[in-house]
Amino acid sequence: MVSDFFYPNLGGVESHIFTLSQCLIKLGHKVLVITHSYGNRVGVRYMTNGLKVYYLPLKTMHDQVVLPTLFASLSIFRNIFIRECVEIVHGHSAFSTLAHEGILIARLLGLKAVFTDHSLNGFADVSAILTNKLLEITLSGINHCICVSHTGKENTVLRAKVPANYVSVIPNATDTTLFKPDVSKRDKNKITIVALSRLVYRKGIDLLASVIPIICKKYPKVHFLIGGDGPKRIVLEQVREKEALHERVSLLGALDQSEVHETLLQGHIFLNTSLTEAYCIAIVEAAACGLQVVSTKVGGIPEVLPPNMIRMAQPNVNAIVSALDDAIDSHLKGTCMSPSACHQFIHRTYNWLDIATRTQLVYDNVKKQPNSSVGKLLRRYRTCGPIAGPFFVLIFTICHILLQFFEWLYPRHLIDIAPDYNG
Amino acid sequence: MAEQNSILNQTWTKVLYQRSTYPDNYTDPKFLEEIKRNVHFKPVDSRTAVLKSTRISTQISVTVIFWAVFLQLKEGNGSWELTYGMFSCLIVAAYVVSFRFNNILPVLKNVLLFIAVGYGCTPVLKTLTDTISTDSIYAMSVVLMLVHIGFHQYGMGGACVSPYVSLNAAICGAICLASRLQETRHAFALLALAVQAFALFPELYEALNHTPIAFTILTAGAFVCMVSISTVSASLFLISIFCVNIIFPLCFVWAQQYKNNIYGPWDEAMVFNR
Repeated sequence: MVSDFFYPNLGGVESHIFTLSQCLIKLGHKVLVITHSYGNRVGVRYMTNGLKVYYLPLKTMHDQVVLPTLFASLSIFRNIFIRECVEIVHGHSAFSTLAHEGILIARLLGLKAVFTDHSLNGFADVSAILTNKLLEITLSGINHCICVSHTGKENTVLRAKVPANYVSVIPNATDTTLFKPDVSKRDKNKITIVALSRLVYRKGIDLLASVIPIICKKYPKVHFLIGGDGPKRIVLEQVREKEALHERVSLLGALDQSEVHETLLQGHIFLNTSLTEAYCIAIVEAAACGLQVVSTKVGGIPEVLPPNMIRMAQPNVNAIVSALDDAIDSHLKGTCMSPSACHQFIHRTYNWLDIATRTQLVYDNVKKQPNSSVGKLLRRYRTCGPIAGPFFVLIFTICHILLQFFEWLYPRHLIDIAPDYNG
Repeated sequence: MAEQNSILNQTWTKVLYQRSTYPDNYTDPKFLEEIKRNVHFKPVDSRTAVLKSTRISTQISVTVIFWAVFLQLKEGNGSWELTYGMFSCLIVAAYVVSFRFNNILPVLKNVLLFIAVGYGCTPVLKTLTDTISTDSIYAMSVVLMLVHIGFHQYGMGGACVSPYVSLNAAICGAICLASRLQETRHAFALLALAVQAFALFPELYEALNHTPIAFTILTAGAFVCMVSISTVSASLFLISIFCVNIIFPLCFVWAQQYKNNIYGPWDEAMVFNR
């Protein structure tokens, strides 16, 4: 697994990589993770069940991703792939330059490559055009691609011009042994609405700030629990001050992974106001804890939960308020699905072992694909565009020559094979 | 503990919570059904494009007339008074016609103030660029005038539209050129012309709703000026006006067929304030 985003960073992609690796180890595979160094955390570390993590000493630029030089990381990637007898390289997240580099170098070394795209991206602005072109380059040599939702698949196919049968849809999963409902933790005298996300524009915090005063005025028993931090926190604090809702709106700040579960247990309804979302893991976690879900109907969210577990609204204030009205009404009347039934459904549908098995199927298919020579690979890259194609073919030819040079300087048979933790 | 979802649908649905017998990389015929292309696109026809591009040509003509007056001033032949006089009268007449001053007094006061202060400051402005060589001055003025034309407000927003930059560049270019003139009154005349052409004229043009009449008068005037300087300059001017007015708009209209704005369920939602 190659990605910029891994522990000690905490987030969706990071926990996805970690949990998927653990499940694959349980299925009997050897998994290692390559990421960049985080402060003092450089070198090789071992995590649970012998998951080996390489923290590479590469320079990061803004947004916690490495500077994409390709040549700087060439020899270290080659060394790691040979030492660990890597067969398949799996890159995560289109925003991770390290994943792109890892995949490109792996293909030049003749290894198989898989890529998972976790997010949706637009087409209109300059940054989107450049990122999509880079993604197209990387994915033109890939063996297979995984997206987390059908909308994500459509988006990736359009952005990177990948043939649609090369893209599998395998959703994210959640640890249902951790996210269990506990009705005793809920306050019976109040209706608690929970909203947990980074407080940024993309997550629709402006919508949330407009909805809070309306709902608080309408239902005197409602109480809001808002977790997470970010630049839009000030907007929520302003609303709280203006409407004097200090007792009814609690801003919990940034939460640890362990505190997320505790906070979810206190809620009756989970509110998600994102403006765009490929696959919202937050609503799955909330549903696993037995909360009713109210969300904006954007991106891949309509595909995640069945209509009896989620109420969706168009991304405007009136629609969200009316959906919340429905949810509160249903809670008061007791017509909503019971927390244990919600939990059972999530446990059956989104469990990690199932996801890992489907990913294993992808790996099996990929292994069956024939090896392609470097020439054929370069011809595939050439088709990426009239300017980008030849330019990148030139860069990759230089990489290939450098790899041959390293083959002479540090021959393959002289590199020690690393011992297996479990073997 | 893995409980397999043993209920598999025979039909494929675009949901993640219900698996079907189809493999994960199955692509339904309804794939990309919700894509919409060019939703907000209003195509522009050739006639509109050519007509609207006269705005740019007018600005180019004004700049060329200004440059021609400078050249005539520099060479010292008497015809500059004629050109200058005609241009000023045109501007003043058009102003009076379009704005119909009720209160002529404050306007006259402003004009007198400008003449007094401007004439007083002109010697200072003239000596500003004494240490710079003439060739650099000419090169700088050309670049500044191009910046003026490039950044001018032609009725659309964009990254490179800034009326402030445009006006500043034009006045700066005018000062550069004025400093190369011999007599103070010539320099002041040029600066007054610069203010008329670059500061007052755009507003006037806006008030006249960008009539093609202004375009024809000014282009004809600029052409006549260029002819009096040399045939090369006149032909270059004609070629550039032809390109800007006819060739580029037609290229734009032709390129519209390649417009491919993609919209779909993956787009970030637009939040409108209630």
